[in-house]
Amino acid sequence: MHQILKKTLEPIIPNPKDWPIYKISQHKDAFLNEIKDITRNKILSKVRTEKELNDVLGKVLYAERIRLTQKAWKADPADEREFWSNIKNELLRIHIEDENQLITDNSSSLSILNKIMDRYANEIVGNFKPGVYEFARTTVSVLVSKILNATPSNRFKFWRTQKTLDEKVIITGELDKIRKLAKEATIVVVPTHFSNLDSIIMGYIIDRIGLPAVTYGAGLNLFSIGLLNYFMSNLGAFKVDRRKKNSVYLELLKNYSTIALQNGVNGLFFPGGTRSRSGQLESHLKLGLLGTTVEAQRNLIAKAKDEKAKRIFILPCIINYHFVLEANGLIEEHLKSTGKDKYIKENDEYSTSYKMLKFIIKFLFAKSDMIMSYGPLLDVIGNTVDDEGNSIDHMGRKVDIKDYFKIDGDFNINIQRENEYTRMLERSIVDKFYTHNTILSSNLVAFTAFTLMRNMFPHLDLYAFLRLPNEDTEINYSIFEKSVDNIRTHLYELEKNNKILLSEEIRLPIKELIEHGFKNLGMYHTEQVLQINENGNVVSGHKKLLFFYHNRAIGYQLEKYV
Amino acid sequence: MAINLKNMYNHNQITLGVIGAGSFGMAIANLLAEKNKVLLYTRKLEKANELILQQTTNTKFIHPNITIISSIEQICKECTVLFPIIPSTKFREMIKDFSPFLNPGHILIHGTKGFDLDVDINNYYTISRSNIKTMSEVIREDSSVVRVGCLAGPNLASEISAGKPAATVIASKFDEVIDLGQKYLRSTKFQVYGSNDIFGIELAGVLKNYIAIAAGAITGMNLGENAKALLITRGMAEMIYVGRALGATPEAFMGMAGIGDLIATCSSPNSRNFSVGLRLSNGESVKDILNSMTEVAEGVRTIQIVKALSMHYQITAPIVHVMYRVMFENLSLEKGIKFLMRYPAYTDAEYLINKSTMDI
Repeated sequence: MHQILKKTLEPIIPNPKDWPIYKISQHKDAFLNEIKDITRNKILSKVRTEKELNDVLGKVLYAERIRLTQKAWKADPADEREFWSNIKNELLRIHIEDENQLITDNSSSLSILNKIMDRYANEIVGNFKPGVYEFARTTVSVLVSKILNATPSNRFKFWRTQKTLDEKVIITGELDKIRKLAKEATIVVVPTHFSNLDSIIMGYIIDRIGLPAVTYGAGLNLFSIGLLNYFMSNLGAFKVDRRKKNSVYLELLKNYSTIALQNGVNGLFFPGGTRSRSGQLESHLKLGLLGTTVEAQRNLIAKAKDEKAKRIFILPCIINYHFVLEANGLIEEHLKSTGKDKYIKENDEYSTSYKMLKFIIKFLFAKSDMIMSYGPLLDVIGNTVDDEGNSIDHMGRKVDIKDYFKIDGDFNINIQRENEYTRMLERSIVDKFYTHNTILSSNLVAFTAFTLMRNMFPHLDLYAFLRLPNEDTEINYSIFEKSVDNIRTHLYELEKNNKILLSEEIRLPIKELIEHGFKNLGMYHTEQVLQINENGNVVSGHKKLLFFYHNRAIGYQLEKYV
Repeated sequence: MAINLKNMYNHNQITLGVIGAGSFGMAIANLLAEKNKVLLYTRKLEKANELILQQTTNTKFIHPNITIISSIEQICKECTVLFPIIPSTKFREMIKDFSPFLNPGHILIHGTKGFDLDVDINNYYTISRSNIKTMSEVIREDSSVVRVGCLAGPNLASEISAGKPAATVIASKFDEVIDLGQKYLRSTKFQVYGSNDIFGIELAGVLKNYIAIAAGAITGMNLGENAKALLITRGMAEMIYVGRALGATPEAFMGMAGIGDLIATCSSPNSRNFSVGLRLSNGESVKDILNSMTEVAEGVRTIQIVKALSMHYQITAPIVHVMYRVMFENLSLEKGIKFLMRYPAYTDAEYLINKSTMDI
């Protein structure tokens, strides 16, 4: 049942010391050894002879030396150069007499592989300290409340944030079911990604529905900031270095995720990879990390033999807000990448300190809600799940997850099959992103206004259109109102068919709805994205931002109803 | 030697299922039965009994490893690998009947060369991709099975049954489905290729049917081999255009299921579709031909479907339009074929040269 969260829920496992994430942190060595063993086996399954392994290591060394000279960071450990030059010397010392010499336990190349894996594993691994978690939990509540609801009326009772937060951050989803199943299963949260604030917000809302902390991969660069490093390192985050693209590192990273999931540690990753540049919902996901859920589930099935296997469930999560702080930068990047030479960037909008100040004031004192929808729980094939944790396929039929991993009636491992399943999972998650996307008043007005303006200039390409002076794209208010109403009627239809969610204010009388939308649309930007001008008509103060917020309602074929 | 026999016996423990006892279903069942036990399902009890009688009296060759049954539950329980080979018009109904007994552990490799339609083709002037489903899509839609494959290629049932060499392609997104199909079907007389482009392969298998009807007509009219070669080559181009409009890439059409099957069906009186064309050229009416056929010629329905598709996507597809008018609008076959033979041409194999020239 789809519920709206009324108050912060009790943790389903009260003591953080009972959480799997704490347990692996306590037994870190054993955990890392498991990861290293599996990674070693996978690498050795692809190479047979000592020479072949040497070639693999040579490629790793080559990539690392390029990274050291071209992409060095201050955050890199001091002994980085020394370590790799030692590896180089050891590799050079290996003299292979027989090209067909098989790898043995005493092979020197094997010991070099182990050394590299040790170093990587110690770098990647995260900690979990319950004390730090408790502290962060309170701090983040305050922080989120400050961003979202420091309205003038409650500014003075600043610390009494709980009540207002409950009102402002609306969390919906099948909460009872999620909480019930999370006691037995491992949950992997996969949210949409629009803003850098998302990871903080996710930590906050996962905590609010009472789920144990999640582990997630965070960019290594974030760990170079002192205070942030302290928090991230002790809250279960593991480090991901995007500069390292060599096979050993990537394999280790994937296995880190797989083994953590197998140990019951809840996970979080943004399946789109990076923030959506265009403002549109993700439609393609990163299959590598997604695949670790399939692999972990397969391993749990293998381990369970004839018993019931421990389950892994995917929890899609759709974050909706009226504003994206960095929208301006994101849409610029998007236009640049799609438009190439057609696109001419204009002057920096935040050039004056006055504008800057306005931004900060708005940031702190404006009032805005956020809607967070948990989609339905999915199994690793993309099927939905019933209250008892059984997989329910598209026919509405109960299916046994084990059957997906059988051939001729017997369990077996098949990587290519699992890659196909990962694609099925991708399609299912994307589908849930769209069906559980909540349309806000701001999305509706932005979509309508942009489409109307765009339709006035069908012969211009998008980039030329965006460069038009704002007064050229003025639209008549009554036409605008009528179009909003038309689209709303169609949105009701979509809602009835479970294709979309609508926020409460969509149901307001049309004039109030439009006013609400205008007020909230990108309220943290220095320009009014949409406003009524002196003629009583609708104009945009920033068409690129209008385009960005309009994109959120793309993919529902709403264009025809404008 | 004794050990080998024992191994063979163990191997026999896997029971494979074939759904549909038409001529191609029977040919596949016989091929599979050379190495494995096979359950052959046929819906009607009388038909099953008749086949059992033929098997015991040897009036028709049915391999002793084949057991003929008409219980859906039994075949689904005993076999995890099933080969549905039934006419496309009955396919969805069959899957719906089987569905309660199928689970994600089952693997289905179908051998049906036709489309499923969500509208009655006799009442529609144009249809689009969203109206048609391939058989593998029907399986995915109406059952819990996810690992699906299809069989296509130059495999005329009568030649396979006669033990002549033939080849097929098994297409599936899952390599293991291809591997399984190869393991069970491959023999010294039967080559089995693989492809991951299941949609393209299914499409090639369907589209070649109506070209075969036209080829039959040309053969019957004694227009010679040059004319037939012309038809087959342009037929190939037309198939690619229709395929492209539906979202397939040309590659699938260049293999066993495209060119391979096209050559076989366009040359053999043993092909049902070819014989429809042949009989047309002898002056028989479409109605008489269809009424007298014991098995469905998918090509007749394919003509209706492809013609409606070409209207929607505005593809210039002269062969299908001529065949449509001959079969449903009383155009004389002579006039139709004459029109085709004189159809103006510009570039040879243009679909390989310039992808943007979608239309001829």
